[in-house]
Amino acid sequence: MSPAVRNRARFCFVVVATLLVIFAGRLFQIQGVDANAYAERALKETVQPTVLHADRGRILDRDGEPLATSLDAQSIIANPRFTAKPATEIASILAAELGVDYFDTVTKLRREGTQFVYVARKVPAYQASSAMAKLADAGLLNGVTTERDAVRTYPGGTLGATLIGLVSGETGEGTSGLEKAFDDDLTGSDGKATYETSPKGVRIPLARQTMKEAVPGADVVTTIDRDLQWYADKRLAAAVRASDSDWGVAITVDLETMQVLQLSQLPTFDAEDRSTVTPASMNNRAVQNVYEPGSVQKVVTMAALADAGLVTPQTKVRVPSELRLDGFTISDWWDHGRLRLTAAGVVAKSSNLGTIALAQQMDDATMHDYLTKFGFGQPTGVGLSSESRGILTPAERWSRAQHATISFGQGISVTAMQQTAAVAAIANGGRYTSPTLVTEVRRADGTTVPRKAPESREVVSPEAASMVTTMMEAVTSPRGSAPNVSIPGYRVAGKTGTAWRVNPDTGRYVRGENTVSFIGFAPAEKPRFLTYVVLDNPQGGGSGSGTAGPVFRDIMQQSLQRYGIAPSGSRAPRTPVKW
Amino acid sequence: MSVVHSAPRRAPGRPQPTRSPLRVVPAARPRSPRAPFVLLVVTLLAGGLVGLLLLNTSMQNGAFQLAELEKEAETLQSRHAQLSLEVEERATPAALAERAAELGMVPNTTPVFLRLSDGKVVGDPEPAARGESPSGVGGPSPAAVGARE
Repeated sequence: MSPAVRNRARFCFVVVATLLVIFAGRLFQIQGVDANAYAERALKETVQPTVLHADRGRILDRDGEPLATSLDAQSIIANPRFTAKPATEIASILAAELGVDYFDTVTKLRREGTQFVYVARKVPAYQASSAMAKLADAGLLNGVTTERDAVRTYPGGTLGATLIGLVSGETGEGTSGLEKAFDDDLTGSDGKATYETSPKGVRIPLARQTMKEAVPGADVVTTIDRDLQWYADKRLAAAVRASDSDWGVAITVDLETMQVLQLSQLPTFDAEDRSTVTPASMNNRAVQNVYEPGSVQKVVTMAALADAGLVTPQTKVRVPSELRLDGFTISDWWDHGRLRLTAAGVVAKSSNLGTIALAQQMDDATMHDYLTKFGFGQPTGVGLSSESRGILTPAERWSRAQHATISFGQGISVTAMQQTAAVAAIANGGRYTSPTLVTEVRRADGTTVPRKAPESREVVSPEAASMVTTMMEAVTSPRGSAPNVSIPGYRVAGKTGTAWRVNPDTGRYVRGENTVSFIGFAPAEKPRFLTYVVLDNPQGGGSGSGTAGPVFRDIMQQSLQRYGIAPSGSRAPRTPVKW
Repeated sequence: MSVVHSAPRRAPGRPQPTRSPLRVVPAARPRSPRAPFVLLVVTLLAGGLVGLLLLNTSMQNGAFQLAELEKEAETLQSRHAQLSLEVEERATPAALAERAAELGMVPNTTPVFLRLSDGKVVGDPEPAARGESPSGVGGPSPAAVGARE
C-alpha cells in the first residue's frame, strides 16, 4: 500500500468515525434523554382517543313497545388547530344548519391549547349529516368530525310522562320517575378507543390501537299497558279539567298478578317539550303524595271487622243522627234521623256514623295491626324512588275520636298506591301482594338482573274478603251511593270517597275542600281489575260518585273490553241495606 | 541361465529412493457462474419489495374502504334510527286514535260476547254512536291540566 493510499484511508476513517460519534450522540440524546417527550409529540400528531358512548337502555311497556328510547344522534367535534382559520365560515354554516349560536361557535372553533371541542351535542343524525355535507361542499371539512351521541326520546309525549320520568340533558342521568329509580340499570358503561390516524382522520392499519367495547344499558320492562295508559291519561285529564281539580291520580292493577297496568298522574308534562316541565308535574303523586282517603277506607275497616268475626253484611246497625266524641261532632254526608242500616247498607250509603258504631267493637291495637297488615304506614315497594310511607299514628297515641275517624278514613294519610294495594287484598280473597311496576330488567346480552319477588301475605280470611265484596257491590246497586258507576253487563264492587281535605300549610281541614275518590274492582264475582281514581280539591267540593266515579267507570270499562273479559251473566246478590 | 539368473538382484534392505504414491487428482472444479445467484437474490428482494408494496397499498386501500364503509354504515344506521322513530311516533296510541277518528271510527262502548259453550250472545248489541262517549280523542292535553306550579 502506498503511503498516499494509506493517508487517504486514514482521513476517511476519521471523517466516518466523527460522523458516527455525532450520530451516536444525537441518538443517545433522542432515545435516552428526551425519548418520552418526542414519543408523546409524535403520538399527539396522530393518536385520536375517542369515547364509545354506551346506549342507555330502553323503557318498555308490557308488550315491548317503547316508552322511552335512545335515538341515534351525533355530536359535532372540531379540532381548533384546523378550524381556527376558517372559523367564521364554518360557524355560519353550522349556525344555519343546526341552529347553534354563531359567536359561541366561533369562540369554540378558535379555542387554544386543545384539539378537541364539542361544537354541538345531541344533534339528530340527519341534521348532522346534512351539515357535514354542506361543510364538505364548501371545502371546510378539515378538522370537523362527528361522533355518535345518543339522545333520549319519549315517543308517547305525555303518555305516562310523570311515571317514566326524564333524564338530565347534560349528564344523561335519570332525574325523575323510572328513569331515576332504574338509572343504574339503564346506564351502560362507556367504552374507549384509541387509534392512530392520518391527518385526514383515516385510521392507520396495524398501528397501535386499544379498544374497550361499550356495554349498553339494560332495558326496563314495565307492566304498563301503553294503550290503557293513554286512555286513562286522557280520561283523567278531561275530569281534572272539568272539575278544576289540583291534581288527579288513576291506577289500574291486574289483580291476578298485581301488576300496574296504568298509572296516570296529573299534572304531568310533555316529555318531548321541556317547557311544559314544572316541579309539580314531575311529582309521582301515586307514591309521593299523601292525603286522607276518606270513606274508601271504610272497606278496609269492614274487612278487619269481618275477619275478626265482628260483622257480616247482614249485621244490624242503629245509626244515630250525629255523634259527639272528644268535643267533635261527627255527622253523615246527608241529614238523617235515627237509621236502621245493615252493615252492607252502611257501606252502600257510606255512613260515617254506622262505620264508627261497628268499629267501636275493635280496640286500637287490633285495628292498628290490621291497618299495618294491609300495608298502611309503609312503602309498597312498587319500584319508584322517594316513596312515602303515609301517616299512620301508633295505636298508643290514638284518641277516641281518632279511632272513630280512622275507621272512615280521616286522621290517617295514605298514598294512592297503598290504598290500591290494600283494597286489592280484599279483591284477591284477603291476600295482600305488593304491586309491581317493573317485571324485568333485561341486559343487552339477554340475561336479566335479578329482582326481589313481591311480598305476599294473608291479611283477612277469604270469607271476610267475600263479605266485604258483597257490601261493595251494594254501592253500585240502585240503592247504593254510586248507582251511576255501574257497567252494563258486569258486576262492579266499588266504594266512593269524599274526604275532607287538609290544607298542607296549616294542617287543618278546610271547609268545602275535598279529596274525592272512587275505588272498585270488576267483575265482582271473579275480580280481574282494580281501578282507583283520586281527584284533589275539585271546584265546589265534588263527590266521590259524581266526580271520580265516571272516570273509574270509563277506565274500568276500557280495561274489561281491552282484555276481553266477558261478563259471566251472574246477578249481584240482593243484600238488604235496611232492616 | 545362471548369468541370467545371477543378474544382480536388489539386495534386500537396501534403501530405495521413495516415490510419493500417486493419486488421481480431481479435475479442476468448474466455477459455477455467479449470475443466476445474483439474479435469484435480486429477484427475491425485488419480489419481496414489490409484495410488501402491494400489501401496503392494498392495506391502505382497505383502510380507506373500511373508513368509507364505516361511514356508510353509520349513515344507514342513523337513517334506520330516524325511520324507526317515525314509525314509533306513528304507532303511539295517540297517533292511532287520531287516525282512527279521521277515518270516522268510533269506540264501541257496549261490547257483547259470544259464549262458545252454548252459542249465546252475552250483552245487548247496540250500534256505537258517534261522539257519545269520551273516546280519548280531543279533550285537554294531559300536560295542560291541574295545579302546575
